Order: sequence, then C-alpha cells, then structure tokens
Amino acid sequence: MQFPTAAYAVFFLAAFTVNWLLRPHHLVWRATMIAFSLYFCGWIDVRFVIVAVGMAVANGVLASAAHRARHDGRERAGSRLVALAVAVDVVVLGVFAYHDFFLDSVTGALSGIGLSPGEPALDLVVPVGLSFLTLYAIGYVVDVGRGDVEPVGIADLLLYLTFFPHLIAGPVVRVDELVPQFHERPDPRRVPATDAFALIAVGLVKAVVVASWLGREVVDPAFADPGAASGPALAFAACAFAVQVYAGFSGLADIAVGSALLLGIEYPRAFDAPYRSLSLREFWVRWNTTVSSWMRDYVYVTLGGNRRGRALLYRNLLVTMAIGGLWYGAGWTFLAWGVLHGVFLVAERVAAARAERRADRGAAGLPWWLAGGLRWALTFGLVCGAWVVYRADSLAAAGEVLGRIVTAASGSSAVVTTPAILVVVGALACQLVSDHHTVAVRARFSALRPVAQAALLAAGLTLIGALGPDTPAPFAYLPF
Amino acid sequence: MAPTPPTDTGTHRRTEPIPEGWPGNDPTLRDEVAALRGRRRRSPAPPEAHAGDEADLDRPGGGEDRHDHDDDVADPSAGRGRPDRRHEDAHGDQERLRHEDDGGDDGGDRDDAYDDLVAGAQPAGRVLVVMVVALLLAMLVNADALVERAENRPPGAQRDRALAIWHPVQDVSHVLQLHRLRDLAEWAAGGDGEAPPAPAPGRGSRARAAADSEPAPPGEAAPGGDRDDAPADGELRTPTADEPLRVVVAGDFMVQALGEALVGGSEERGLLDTLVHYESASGLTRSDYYDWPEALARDVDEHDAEVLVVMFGANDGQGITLADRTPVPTVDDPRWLPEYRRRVASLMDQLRAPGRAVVWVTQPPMRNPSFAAAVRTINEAFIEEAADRPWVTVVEPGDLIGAEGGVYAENVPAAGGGDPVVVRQPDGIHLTPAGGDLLATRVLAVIGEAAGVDVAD
Repeated sequence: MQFPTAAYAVFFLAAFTVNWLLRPHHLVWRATMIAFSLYFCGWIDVRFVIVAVGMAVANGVLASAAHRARHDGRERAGSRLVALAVAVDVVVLGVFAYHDFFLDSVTGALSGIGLSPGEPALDLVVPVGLSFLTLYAIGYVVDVGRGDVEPVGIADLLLYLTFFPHLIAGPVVRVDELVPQFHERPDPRRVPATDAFALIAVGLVKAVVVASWLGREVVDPAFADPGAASGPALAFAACAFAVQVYAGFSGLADIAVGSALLLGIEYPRAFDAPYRSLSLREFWVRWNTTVSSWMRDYVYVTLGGNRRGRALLYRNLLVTMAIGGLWYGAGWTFLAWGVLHGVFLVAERVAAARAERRADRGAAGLPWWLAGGLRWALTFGLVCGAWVVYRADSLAAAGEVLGRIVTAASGSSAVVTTPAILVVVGALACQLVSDHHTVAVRARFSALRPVAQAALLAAGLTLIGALGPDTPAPFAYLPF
Repeated sequence: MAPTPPTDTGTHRRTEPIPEGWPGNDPTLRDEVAALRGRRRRSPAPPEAHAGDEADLDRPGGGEDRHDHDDDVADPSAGRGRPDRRHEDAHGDQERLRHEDDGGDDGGDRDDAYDDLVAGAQPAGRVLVVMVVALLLAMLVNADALVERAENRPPGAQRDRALAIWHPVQDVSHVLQLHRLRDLAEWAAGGDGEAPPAPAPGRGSRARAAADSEPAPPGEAAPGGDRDDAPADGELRTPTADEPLRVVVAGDFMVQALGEALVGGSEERGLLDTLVHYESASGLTRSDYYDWPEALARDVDEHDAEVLVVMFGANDGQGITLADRTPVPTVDDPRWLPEYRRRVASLMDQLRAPGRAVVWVTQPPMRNPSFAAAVRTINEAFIEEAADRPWVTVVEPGDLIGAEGGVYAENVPAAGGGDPVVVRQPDGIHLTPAGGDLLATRVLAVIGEAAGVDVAD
C-alpha cells in the first residue's frame, strides 16, 4: 500500500476513526493499532507480518535479557545479548534486502576467475519498510543495552516497530520518543488538522507531482542515454535528480508525519531544507535527519566517534557513511555514494582546520557573501555529483555521466526545457520557505467552515492528481 | 518494564523567536491573525532585539561550533526527546505575536486559542467529517482517472474489485457532471485533459478527423455509384479526395493510440474520413457498463460508416453474465468462451452491410502471463468467428507489436535499422504512439487493399 492511493485513504479513515474512539481504552486501542499496523505490513507483503512479529519478539526477549544481565552486574553478558540481537536484525535485513546484491557480487567474482555458479536458490522479495524496521529494532535494543531506556512490553515494542505511518519512509523515532506517546491521551477536541493537512498536501505535491515529473521528463531520459546528452544537460539532470530524490523522500516523510499527527502522535521533522546547506556537515544535519542521527548514535559513536584521534575519526566517518550508503540501497553505486560522502566530510574537516589556522595567522578572508555563495555552490555541486553515482545503473555509467558533464560540450539538450528549469529552480527556492511564512494561510484555512475546508482539500487532491503521473508508481527510485 | 518518561510531553515546544527582518516577521501578519481571532491588536509593539541572530543567519542550521562531539553525521539535538517539532519556528513567531497582541499578560487560554487557530485544532469528529467529505468529493471528481488507473492494473481479483468500486462512482460522477472538474484541472495543468468547453461523451473519447469534405448525410447514396451497384459485403468502393471513405475506429482504450495514428497516417492523402471512438474500461463482457453494440449502431448510423475498425478485448478478461443472468466469474470457466463468442458473432453480424468492410484488430501480446493467456483466448474467439464471415478481416498485431512468435516485447526492431522502437508503455498493456503507428500502418494497408488504392500517406 502506497501513501498516495485511494486504498491508503480508506485505510487511514478507518484507522483515524478507531483511533479516536478507542483512545480512552488503552489496551484495546493498542491492540487495534497493532492490528491496523500489521494489516498495513501485510498489504505490503504478507511475509512481512511474520518478519515484523518475529523481530519484535526476538528483540524484545533479547533486550529484556540484556537489561536483566546489566541490572545483575553482568555487563559482558548484557553486551553479548545486545550484539546477538543486532546480529539477528542485520542478518534478517541482509537476507531479504541484500541477498541479490551478495549473490550478484559473488557470481560476478566467480565468473571473473572462470567459474560458473548455478542459478540462485532463493527468490526473495524485499518487504518495503524492512530497512526502517531494522533501524527501529537495533536502536531499541542498543538503547536498552546502554541503559538509556528501560525495556518496554512486547505489545508496545510491536506497535513501536510497526506503527504504520513510519513504516514506508520513516522518520526514525527512538523508543523513548514514541512509546510514551502511546500511553498518553491526547485531547480529541484539539486535533491539529490544518498542520496535518498541510503536511500531507505538501508531501503529495513533492512526492507525486515534482518527483514524478522530474523523473519522467528530465532524469530518466538523460540517464537512459547519457552518451547522447551534452555535459550541461547532464549537469542539469543531476540537479534535477537532487530535487527529485529530495522531493520523493521528504514528501513521503511529510505524509507520514501528517498522518501520525492526525492520530495524535508527533514525529520529528525528517528533512530541513538540505539544499540550503553551506557545507557537507550541514547537509547531513539537514538531510534525513532522523536516519543521520541514528547512524551517528549507533554506528559512528559505537566505532569510537572522534574520541580516539584524528585518523580514527576519519576512518569512523568513512565507515559510517559507507554503511549509510548501503542502507539506502543494496548495490555498489549506493556504497560508492556513501563512501564519496565520507571522503567529502573528511576533506571538509581537513580544509576547515587549515582555514582556521590561516585565520589564526590573520590572513584576510573573502567577503562573507562571496564566501557563502562559493560554499553553497561547492556543497551543492558535490552533493549533485554524488547523486549521479546514486542514480546511475552502475559505477561505469556513473563515470560516463560525470565524465561527460566535464568534457562534453556538445550533444542533445532536449531535457533542458523551460518548465524543467522552472521546476528545479522553484523547488530549490522553496528551501528558503519556512513554516512561519505560512502562519496566516494556515490560520485562514483553520477559520473556514468544514465544508469549505473539505472542498479545498478535494480541489487540491484533484490538482495533484491531474499533475501527477497516470500510473501510481512514482517512487521507483527509492531503493528500499 | 515501564517506558522511560518522555523528555517533553507538551503538544508543541517553543523556541527562540525568529530574527528581525527574517521572512515571516511581517507586521501585517499580526493584524491578519488578530482579525482572525476577532480582536484588534491593542498597540504596536516595538521590534525586539535578539542577540545572536546575526550568527544564526550567518550559519543556517545552528552553526558548526556545536559539532564538537560525535556529531559529524547529524546535529546532536536532532532526533532525541521529541526534538525539532514541526512547528517550532512558527511557534517562536506566535509567541512574540501573542506577547505583542495581548500585552504580554494574557493567560494560557489565549495561548491555547492561538495555537489551536494556527494548527487548525478541531474536534476529531469534525476532522473526520472534513476528511470524508473531501475524499468523497475527490473520488467523484477524479472518477475517470480512478477507473483508468484500475483498468491499467494487471488482470486479477484486485483489478476486478477496483473496477467494481470505481464504476458506480464514475456513473454518479457523470450524472452530477463532476468529472468535468477533473477535465478542467487537467486542461489547466496543461495535460491531455479535454478542454472544458468540449463535451466529453461517455467515459472515453469520440473525435472525428474529417477529410476535406463533409461526409454524405446518412441515408444518402454512397459515393461511387448508387445502391443498386453497391459492392458486396466486405468490398469497398474506391475513395477519392472528394468522396473519402467513411471510417469508424471504435473500441476500448487500446483504440486511442491506434485511432490517433490512423488519422495521422492518412490525413495527407485525404481518402479517409475517420471517426475515432474509444471508451476506457469498456469491452464486450460488461454491457451493463457500456453497451458497445448499441453505441456502434449509433456511430455507424451517424457516420454512415463504410469501414469499421474495431478493437476489443483488453478489458474483457473478467467475469461475464450469461443470457439467463447466470454470472460466470472467470475466463477459465467453460461457459465463458461460448458466451463471449456469441457476443462477438452477434456484433460481427450487426456490422455487416453491403459495401462495408469490418477490420477486427486483435489484442497484441501482454506482459503479464495470466493476462496474456486470457487475451490469447479472446483473440482466438475473434479469429474463429471471423473465419466464417468474409466481411470481417482480422488484423493480428502479435508479430508487429511483439517479439518473434507473438511474444510480448517492449521494443521491436526499427524498420530501417537503428535503435529499437518502444511500442509498449511501462504498464505492459498500452501502446506507445510508435506502437500505434506500426499498427495503423497495417490497418491502413488492409483498408487500401480492400479499396484498391493506397490510403496511407
């Protein structure tokens, strides 16, 4: 079940109604929400229900055992149990999501030395949402192991892992942020409907209209035949993909946050205008913030962070970003994308340290506006260059696109059209729009009568439908 | 086993106010919001100074000085303790507005009222009503698109269920004329929606691409001789630019690409006067949804058709109802094929007339295996029924819009070499314009052969 479908709308109406009717009766409410969430899982893939329940039970049992061991002073045993739980989660994710990647890689390597392996025995389908569920599970068990949170009951854990709004596109919420909200009783007389509708509408525009249109009109044609396109056209396509991938990811996350808000559950913001960034570090603060902070807390910190010297810091950054790249997708291009960002972050740290030393010596810098402009252009350029690697079908194809961007002055520029330029520039300009720009609009909407609100929402849905693609599969670029 | 208490259980958290001069700090906004609250702003408040604003502006995202510890990947404040609430920025602004608005001495009630106003806080029941009404309206307005999307699904229970839901919605939409709003939206969006002034008959499209001359009125003697000398069934007169052959191209949504290509591929010679009529989600199994025999009779009558180019079957891989009203749920049922063949035969006979040829185009191979099997059964019904009817010529596009042996293919080799031609859309069902062109070329050749003159450009 995808968000922008009539099926999800009907499903959500039922969930909304039941949610507010049963909220006063916590146990019944929780059981019903689990049922709704598992139904949602099953709609994605029936096998996903089994995987989700299995992961909840395994992580719940192991986390409780680790907590007891820690409580009894058996720190090492607790750590081993946590490691076991993490291993189980990683293996489950690996079996489903990275099975093909491993097999293809092994097959390719064996073929390279003259061996011819047979056909793979397994034919697995990756359940959409498993990547997020794994992050939730590992985060929970590590938090318990570290003593940051107390273990929660198995029902709470199951609901925490599978709560349907965050299952497809996040955001990633920690157990101590979400489970307490399951036990609260939000006021049913004050559902923040305008905020939620605004999030969902903006999310639909981004995911259904902008991402799909740019993919169809600019990115796919350019990347399908990069040899025919000129360098500037490919550079423009890379910018367009930057907008497309942001619009797709953040649009789905907005819909998730809006849906949860209507149910009385608050999620943190997942994206914060990443293309405003003046440095790669800032980009990773603003890009998919909840996933990035998860990587920081559970990978980077676990590896040692910046506490063991500069060389290990750089290694930890590279490893964290490589794992992050693999989380975004099972393939060499995704791994390369992550490593590339790791290299960028290391290089940026080195450059920043040099600039600081130069400044200490009293060397004159550039005017702030020029320095800011250059930093933005460099950051955006590097991010777009990395997106080329992310989007390309193979590393060779990525190399071809990047090579032509630099060298090919001639070629087709068919994808560089006025509407496409307007969409890309407009989408980037929207990064400067903040919530407080829309206070008056939201207040006016809130003051309308319900029928007028409904009519406006229906008009918005119609326009989004008219502008969107004919087929409901706009998120093919989401690798997980 | 109790969960760790949350760091913040409030609905919304406040942060520092937005800096002076930053977008959103619009003085007129205070008046607008005050007016919405039904109160006047009491007195203009002096702008506040905010230490550190410049630094914040200089370094969006809070600056890098905060990244001293384990924070290279993301802001340490992000993702913990219900952080960075969606509306924090707005609430920073709201807080100051409230302060200015109320002289800074108002209680929590007004704060809550303000929060509720901007966030649109409403009772859950009212929100439910808004959502239900909005979705019902949207469903009615977008019914055509929903049906089209449903019919693009691979055949199966889900597709049948979706069509069973959306067809009645579409009927209501057409009765209320709400589907025209979607047409308007598509037209406004620059899509292929029909311009609002143009009436859209039925669920599909019916467009006439006339040659230079108007067709002879119905009932008038067919050009090229009087009725006594009219050719036999299936034989065509030789058209001229002054007296073009009157052609009706009709059928399900597959006819769209074929019809457009057929018109485009014959307009220069002007020997055909073509009416294209396709209806989405239609076919010969669901006369309750769209009655093609009746519609074709009307088309033939209105256009005085001499050539019928028909294409059915893409929507027919579903249940059918026998003459005694017994429902037959699947194509595999042994009762399905005889009933379908009966309908095909009946329509072929209905279209028979002296001096008129029927060109029956079968469906191209489909990508989905089960759908492809159903389409093969349907195509065989067409071929077998046409075998005994000399006025019907069957055009099989399997080898043209597919790989060798009539197997589905997305691309086919270009006629003159070069890059392969993409003939199918990503759904594995619809034809691309290039696929329509290929098919139209063959149909035009068949018409030209029957008429004794090349009608294609």
